[in-house]
Order: sequence, then C-alpha cells, then structure tokens
Amino acid sequence: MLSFIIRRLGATVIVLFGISVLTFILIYAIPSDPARIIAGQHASLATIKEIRHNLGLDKPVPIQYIDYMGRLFHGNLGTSFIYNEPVTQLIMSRLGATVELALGCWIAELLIGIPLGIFTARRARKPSDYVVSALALIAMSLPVFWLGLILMYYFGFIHPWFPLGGNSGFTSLILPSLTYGVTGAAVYMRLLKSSMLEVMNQDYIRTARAKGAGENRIIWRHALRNALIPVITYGSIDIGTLLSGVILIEATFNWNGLGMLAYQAIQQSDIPVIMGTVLLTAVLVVLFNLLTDIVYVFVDPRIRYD
Amino acid sequence: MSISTPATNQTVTAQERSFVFKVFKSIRQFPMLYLGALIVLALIVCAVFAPEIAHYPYQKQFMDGLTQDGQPHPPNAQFIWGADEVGRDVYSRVIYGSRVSLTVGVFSTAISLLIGTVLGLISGYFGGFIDMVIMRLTDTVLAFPFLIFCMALVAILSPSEKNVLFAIGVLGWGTMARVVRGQVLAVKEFEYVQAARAIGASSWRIMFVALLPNIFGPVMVLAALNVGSNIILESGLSYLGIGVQQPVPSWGNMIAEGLQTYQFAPWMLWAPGIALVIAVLGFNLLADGLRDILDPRNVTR
Repeated sequence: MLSFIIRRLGATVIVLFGISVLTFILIYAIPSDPARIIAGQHASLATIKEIRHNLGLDKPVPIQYIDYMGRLFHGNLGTSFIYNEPVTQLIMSRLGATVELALGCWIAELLIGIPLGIFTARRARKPSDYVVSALALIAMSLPVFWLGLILMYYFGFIHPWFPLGGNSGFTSLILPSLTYGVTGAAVYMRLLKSSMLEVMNQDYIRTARAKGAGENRIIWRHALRNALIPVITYGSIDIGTLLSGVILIEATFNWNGLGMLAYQAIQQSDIPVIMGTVLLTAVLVVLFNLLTDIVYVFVDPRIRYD
Repeated sequence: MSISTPATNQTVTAQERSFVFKVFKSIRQFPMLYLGALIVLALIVCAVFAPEIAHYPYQKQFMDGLTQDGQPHPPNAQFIWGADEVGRDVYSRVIYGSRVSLTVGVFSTAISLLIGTVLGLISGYFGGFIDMVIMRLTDTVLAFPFLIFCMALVAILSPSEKNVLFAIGVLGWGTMARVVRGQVLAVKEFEYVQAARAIGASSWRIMFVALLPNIFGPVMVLAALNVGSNIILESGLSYLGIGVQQPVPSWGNMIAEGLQTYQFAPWMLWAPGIALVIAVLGFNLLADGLRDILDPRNVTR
C-alpha cells in the first residue's frame, strides 16, 4: 500500500506541474497589457515601460515562468493589479465565505440525496420509486442559477423569509445551499440507489435474511454500510469541486467568495488574481482526489493496489 | 379475386398490427428513450424552423412591448410570453434561443468526442509510457475548475457563440478520454482483437475498425449526457455575460436580463428557464434510455 501511496503522490506532483504550466500558458495568452491597465489611460509610454519592467513582463517567457514558480514556492502569488493587494491575502479574505457556502451546499446535497436514495432503493419498481426518480431526473436538468433566481423570487421577494442575496449569517446561507442541494442531490440519490440494489442482491444479505434479521436491520446495519462506498468517493471529490467556488451560485446570490473573485478578475484582466484562484482551486481538486484514493483503501479493504 | 382481396387486406392489417404492437411494446419498454428523442426532435425543429415558428424577428423592439411607465409588457395576445425590457417578444426570442443551445451543445460535444476518443484509444491500446503521459494530461485538464477555465479562455478569445463552443469542446474531453480508455482496456484482450492482430492488422486498423465500434455504446451515452451539460454550461457562461452577446438571444443571457427585472417582470425568468430545463432533460432522458438498452446488467431498468 505504501508503494501505491508513493506512486499516487508522484502522479500528483506531475499533475501539479501540468497545472502550473497550463495556467501560465493560459494567462500568457491574454492579449490585454497589464502594465497599461495599472498605469491608467493617461500614462506616458515611459511609465508603462517602467511598470512593465518592474513586473518582469519584458523578460523572455521561460524566464518569466521560472520566476513565477520561484515566487510560488515562497507562497507568493503576486499582487493584484486592481486591488493593489497581495493575491494570497485577497484569497484568504474570501476563503471563509467559500468554505461556508461549500459546506452548506454539500450538507444540503447529502441531506436530500441519501434518504431519497435509500427510499427509492427500498421501493424499487414501485410507483413511488418512479415518481421520485423522474423528479430526480428533472432536478439534474435544472440550471443552478435559474433555480436560484426562482427560489429567490418566491422565498425572498414574494414571501420575504430569506434575504435577497449577500452573505450575512445563517439565513442567507439557506437559499443558496438549497438551490445547489436540489440539483446536486439527484446524483447522490441515483448513485446510492443503484449501489444499494446491487448490494441487496448479494449472498451476505440473503444470509442475514435467512438468520431472521428484520428489514430495518438489514438495510441500516448490513446493506447501507457497503452501499455507501461509492457515495463516499463521489462525496469527497464533490466537496473538492465545491470548495473551488460555485461561481454561478455566488453570482446569483451575490455571495462574496472565491468564485466571485475569479469572475471579477477575469472581467478586469486582473492576471495575478486569475492565476492565483485558478491555481488554488485546481490544486484543491487534485488534493481531494488524492485524499479520496487514500481514504478509499481504508474504507474498503477489498481494494488492493499492488 | 373476390375471395383473395379481403385475404390480402387481412394480412396487411395483421402486419400493421404487429408493427404497431412492436412500436407500442418498445415504447412501453423504454419510455425514457422515446420521450428524450421526442424532446430532442422538437428542439431541432425549433432551431431549424425558428423564423417560421417565432412570431417576430428576435431583435425587433416594439413600442407597445412596453407599458405606459416604460416597463416590460406582461403576456397578452400579441406577446404570448410577455415582452422584455426593451419591448422584444420573449416567445420569439426563446424559440431563436434554441439555435444557440443546440449548436453549442452538439458541436462542443463533437469536439470533445473527437479529442477524447482519439486520446482514449491511443492511451488504452498502447499502454505504458504513452498511457501515462496521456492520463496525467487528462488528470490535469480535469483538475481545473471547468467553468472558471472556460470563462478565462472565452475572455481571452473574446465572447461569442463560436468561441464558447470552441472553449467548452477543447477543455471538456477529460471524462470522455477516461471512459474510452477504460472501455478499450476491457475490450482489447478479447479474442477477436487478438485474431485481428494475428492476421497482421495495423494498430490503427485495430483501434478504429476493431475496437471503436465495440465501445460505441458507452461513448454515445456519455455524449448525450455531455450535450445536456454543455447546454447548461453555455447558458451559465452567457448568464455571466461571458458568452453569447445581446441582441442574439441565448437562454442564458435572457435569464441574466430576467435577473435585473424579475421583481416586476417574472415572466422573463420563466420562459427561457423552462425551455432550458426541457432541452437538458431531453438529452438526459436520451442518455438514460440508451444506457438501459445498452447495459443488460443495469439494475435500475
């Protein structure tokens, strides 16, 4: 298993390198000149040239990449062109809001998805299963931003029970979480349902039945624990994705998280901020995938990696 | 003659009945597939015959589309789904919006399908170092937050329908490559592939003639799902203003307009949103239905 973890770490390092190169290429391709943005409209050519020199933008591309990586290893993501603040500081100031929203969305998904998954598995091929499964298919097809606006219209505007966007405490978290929860829960539900049905066909369940265990005991003590394995995998990858910022939810509910930071940076060609957020979120995803693979070994002893 | 005529009639009706019966049975067996296909067909009809189906050109602004105090007109006989804040007919714009969704959804998927299938085939078939390189590249592409990545690329290329389509397609092949590779690994040890190798077929011939047709099913399921998610992605980009630009209607940029006006003109949210849900649902149903047909051990069937 140690050799698996080492190999997995090696692959992660390669991917991280790939991420840094790809981010760099992507940003380098942006046609607008950052020096001009910083200098403003009425700057002289000399000023622009000086700023360009100060930023190291007049050096050859490979040197710029090496400089960039050198700074990166010191935890320096550069300084925002627009806010004139270190990018690390900007990201840190938004991270709290994003973690809050990500956890809210994730919990909503699990709270809706897992009970429905168990329910549809127990009622498989009965009318109630068909109704719930059809609703899940519709939920999967809902664009989050549209559902968010509809919920905001009814539960924020028509009935002012919740705030119309912004992040101010627990009540403002409910609508965005619910929005994401509804669309995301369908995946959990379908995953759990099909893995439950597969587990329920296995011999050990029949043995438990033969020994006279009640239906509830079979579901909760025997079947669910094994059926949850794919759900755990998906769940940990999902939280990684969520932490990288749910831009559409953040934009709809005016939630000042990482997603909004990246969105605004893209609109303003704020290159260091785009680079920082893209890099950070990609790294988060990679690390969560790594974690999933390692946790998996402990959760499911049947899996061997040699 | 007088005897044979009713006899032939009878056989025809019997055949007809058996055909109708078969169709009926097939619909009963795979309702999702047929419903999905019907929705997708309707979407294609809307996109192709938009000028005939829509009441007005999508960019035409009507004086009577606005009320006395300059607000969008609620639905009435002339504007059956209401008017927007510059007095354009929402119904006509929703019909025309199907063009953007369908074009971006289908063509971006085609690009991803092409890149993903070729890389997945090569990776799975050759294995070893090539496999390692391609899979790490796939991991890298999959690690990026897709929406931010697309936004950045579209912003670089300047927002337009063509660039949105290109960005989604070029960045979205990761899952496709993984699935194709997995299928190839499962299929390539089969005897018929070894037989092809034994008679001296070239690697390319084995990949594209022997392997590709046998992994076609799962790839098509994924492609149908992908069209749906790319339609949502396009609308998301247009919603954020980094996609299809006004006055060309996309369901995404129509919903973005609705965001400004939903407090007094909620119909501007409803029509494009419902159209979007139905279109995506159509492709999801199609994917689910295809999976049911192709996967005999699927327990949910």
